[in-house]
Amino acid sequence: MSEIRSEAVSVTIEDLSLSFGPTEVLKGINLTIEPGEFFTFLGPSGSGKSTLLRAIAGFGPMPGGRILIGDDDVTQLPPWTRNVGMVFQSYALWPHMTVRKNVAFGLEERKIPNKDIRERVNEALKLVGLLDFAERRPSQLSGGQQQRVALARTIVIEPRVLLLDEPLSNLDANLRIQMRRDILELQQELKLTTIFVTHDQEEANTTSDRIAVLDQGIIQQVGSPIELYDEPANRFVADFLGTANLIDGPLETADGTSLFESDKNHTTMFRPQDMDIQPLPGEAGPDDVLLKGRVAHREFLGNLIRYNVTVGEHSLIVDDPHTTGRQAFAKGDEVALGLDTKNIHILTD
Amino acid sequence: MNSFSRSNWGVSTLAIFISLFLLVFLVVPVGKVIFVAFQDPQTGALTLINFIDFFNTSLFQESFLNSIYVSSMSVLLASIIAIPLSYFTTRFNFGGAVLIQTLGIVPLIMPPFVGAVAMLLLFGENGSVNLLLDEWFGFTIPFMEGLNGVILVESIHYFPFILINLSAALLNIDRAMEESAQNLGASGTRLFRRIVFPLAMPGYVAGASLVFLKVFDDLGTPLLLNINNMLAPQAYLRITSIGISDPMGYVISVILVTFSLFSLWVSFLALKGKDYSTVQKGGGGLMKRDLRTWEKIGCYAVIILILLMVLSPHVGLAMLSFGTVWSYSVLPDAFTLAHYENMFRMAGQYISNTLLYAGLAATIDVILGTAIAYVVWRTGIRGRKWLDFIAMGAVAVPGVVIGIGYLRTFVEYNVPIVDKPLASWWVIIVIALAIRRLPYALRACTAALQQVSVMLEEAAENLGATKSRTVRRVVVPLMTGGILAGFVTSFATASVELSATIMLVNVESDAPLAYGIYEFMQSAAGRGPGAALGIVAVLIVGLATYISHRVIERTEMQRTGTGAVIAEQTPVAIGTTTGAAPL
Ligand SMILES: Nc1ncnc2c1ncn2[C@@H]1O[C@H](COP(=O)(O)OP(=O)(O)O)[C@@H](O)[C@H]1O
Ligand SMILES: [Mg+2]
Repeated sequence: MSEIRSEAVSVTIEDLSLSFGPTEVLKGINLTIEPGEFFTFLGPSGSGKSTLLRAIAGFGPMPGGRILIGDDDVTQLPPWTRNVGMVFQSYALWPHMTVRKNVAFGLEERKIPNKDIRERVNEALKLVGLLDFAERRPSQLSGGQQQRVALARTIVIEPRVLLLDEPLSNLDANLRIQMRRDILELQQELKLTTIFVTHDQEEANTTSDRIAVLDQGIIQQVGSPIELYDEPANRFVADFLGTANLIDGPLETADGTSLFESDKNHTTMFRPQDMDIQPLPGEAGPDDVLLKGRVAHREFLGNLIRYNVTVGEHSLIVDDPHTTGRQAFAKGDEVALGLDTKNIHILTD
Repeated sequence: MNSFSRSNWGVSTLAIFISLFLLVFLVVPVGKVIFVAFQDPQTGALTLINFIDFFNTSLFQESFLNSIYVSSMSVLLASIIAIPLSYFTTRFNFGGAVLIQTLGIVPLIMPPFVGAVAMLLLFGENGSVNLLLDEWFGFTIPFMEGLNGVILVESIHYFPFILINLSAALLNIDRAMEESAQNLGASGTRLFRRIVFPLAMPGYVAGASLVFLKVFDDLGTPLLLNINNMLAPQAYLRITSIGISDPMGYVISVILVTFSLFSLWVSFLALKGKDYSTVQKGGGGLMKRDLRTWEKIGCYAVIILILLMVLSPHVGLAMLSFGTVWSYSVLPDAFTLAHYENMFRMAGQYISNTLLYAGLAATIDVILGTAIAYVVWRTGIRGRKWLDFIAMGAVAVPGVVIGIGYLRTFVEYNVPIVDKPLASWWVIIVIALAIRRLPYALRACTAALQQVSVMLEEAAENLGATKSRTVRRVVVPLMTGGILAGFVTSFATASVELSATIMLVNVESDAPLAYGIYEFMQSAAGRGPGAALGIVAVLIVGLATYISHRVIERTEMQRTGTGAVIAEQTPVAIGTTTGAAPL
């Protein structure tokens, strides 16, 4: 078990807004991150994730609103007094210092006695599995190793909160999966409140206790990965997390009635795997509606086949699980689609 | 493999030709100088006696110490000028940044010796500034007294080397480097001392060692300020007054070369393995902040003070060229165009010689530069790196040494048709200029070639173009910008070179502009026309520098497809700084 331990604290963000000159980048953010939680800011590039994370660390323009770490209001504090550990996307290891010197830096700034520094640096390097590399320069390490040094450098100061800005984006695919597990393991071992920034939904889903989805400087929804997927609050969230059929306007069923007379402000959403593709005429369960269409396109993805089916003037995505030997529909086939009404969501835009 | 070996034949011939040229005009003369320094003048035996004599002569001891003192103090003063300027531009948001960037170019478009006389008139014992100081406050400052004058002139001229290198180093520090330190608890001066300063250090050292080298080798400035007790002037005076056989000139040459190599080695060490350019996409440069009003006033005060100093040689020279009589007074008595008339009447030859010499030298340089770059980077010829190394080695050879070496080596070779020794034929001046400027042209051509990726060549060949057509239709068009920039830089710096040419000019009618300025400035009556000629030199260099900047900008735009050429800052000044006039 590690010696590096810290008391988990919460992070509270109240009505935070922030502008670069005339452009407002964060607009009234409210959030509470629980002690010890692995929390993720997820959103497309330019949505304000980094800006929000950096505001918590004390970088960037002075924001409006309040940021509390535990019970302390840190909004006015300069970065070097906040004791929140941040791992930068580029790692930001200092090239003129050895790995050991890099990791020792924060402790030296805290005027810790030399003997303790050595011990704690060794401890942190052991934790990330790089003790043997202590005397190297950052340039002599691989990307993954540099990432670990950056992590060690941050956790060695026993920060109250750990901030990670797209820490995996500079790694190749295999390493990314390994590293994401390691980070999660480390976080759980240290019981450290962690905020993770990513634009990759898979990364967010696999690591997070809860996720805040950001778009255009506004929090669109907060929830666990499954909540966000199953109960998206709006069109943006539905589309950003996974694949969705988003229908504006009426959709005609097999028996000629018109479904979803949705108005301008609402969109109908259902997931591709919630539809059951069958040969005509098709069977409908008690809660099902039945649609009729023609296969316009087919992609074999291994575990499933993804069809594009034209229904009236709409094109629907339908995912059909593939089991060994199962017959697939061909392009041009007339098909029926069963859809359970329980799985249909009406979203506001 | 047939076509390969055939094209290899041509390339080998080319490489042999270049090697011969470098051997005859660089290696042999420099080797000869070094050899003679270790040779007993009477018996011809190898000996250290010349060095012992040198260090036992008090004048030489003094010159040696003076040269080191002047170079070190120039580095110090240049640093005092350059460090705040580069810090201001990279740290603060304010309009002065543009002013500072101009500051970085202006001194380089005037050879230091040209401004020296003007500086005497402004800052000398009876110059404008001291006259005013005496009148208002009753004291004077010995700005130009003895070695002070050399230090002042040299540091005003060469501080841009530090400014450019240090600014580039600071701009290359990723913002996250600073932020991560703050995140871990560092701030203020500790942050600066532990992170910013060490990261910028290699850039500073590279700039500073270049300044040291240039000042240590400079001949023109001390000569014009009539300071003879330094190494370069001593070498020149011994050879011109006592004769080509006097060993002291050779000993001094060896010392000059040694110190040049030493400063290059220091700069190499500073940069070696320290590619601290940590900048990531988007996050370049230090954290910038806005200035409070009083800080802004302070910054502008410093900048304007430095700007006044930096511009003073230019202003002084202009006043001298337009003034009637200017002595013991703050300003010239009256203004006139007579000096320009005189100058054009008497000095037309100097100007046309200069255009001819510098034009030929620059042509030789880009041809050699392109050829060497091609041989080194696109062929597998054995020993090709040596070609590059030797050509670049010319950086470490001071003009005085080239001059002495040529005089000694080529005095015995009679050129058939003109029936003169090669050492006193005007063509030798062109060759000296070409050799001295070759490293700069070679850097430009290498950079240009490296921008043409091998893949572009391969694509052309894949589509059916032969090797020679590929070179003609793809490589050369893509290189023209860089080659042109190399040409203009070589031309500009060659046109104001003094230290090698002053030794090689045999008859007045062969002399170039720099020599003419030197001649004019020897007499009080010649100062006016001399200054007018100096203004011509400034115009030539200024225009050429402007053109080369435009050319680089254009090619950069073509290459990146955008108009955004962000601060054409060169990371390492050696050989890449356009318009840098290393005399
Ligand atoms: N230093 C800055 N100056 C001006 N605008 C900025 C700055 N940093 C970020 N922005 C703008 O703020 C918005 C959010 O940026 P950012 O937080 O980096 O997004 P994300 O990390 O989600 O990709 C973007 O539109 C970006 O252009
Ligand atoms: Mg970001």
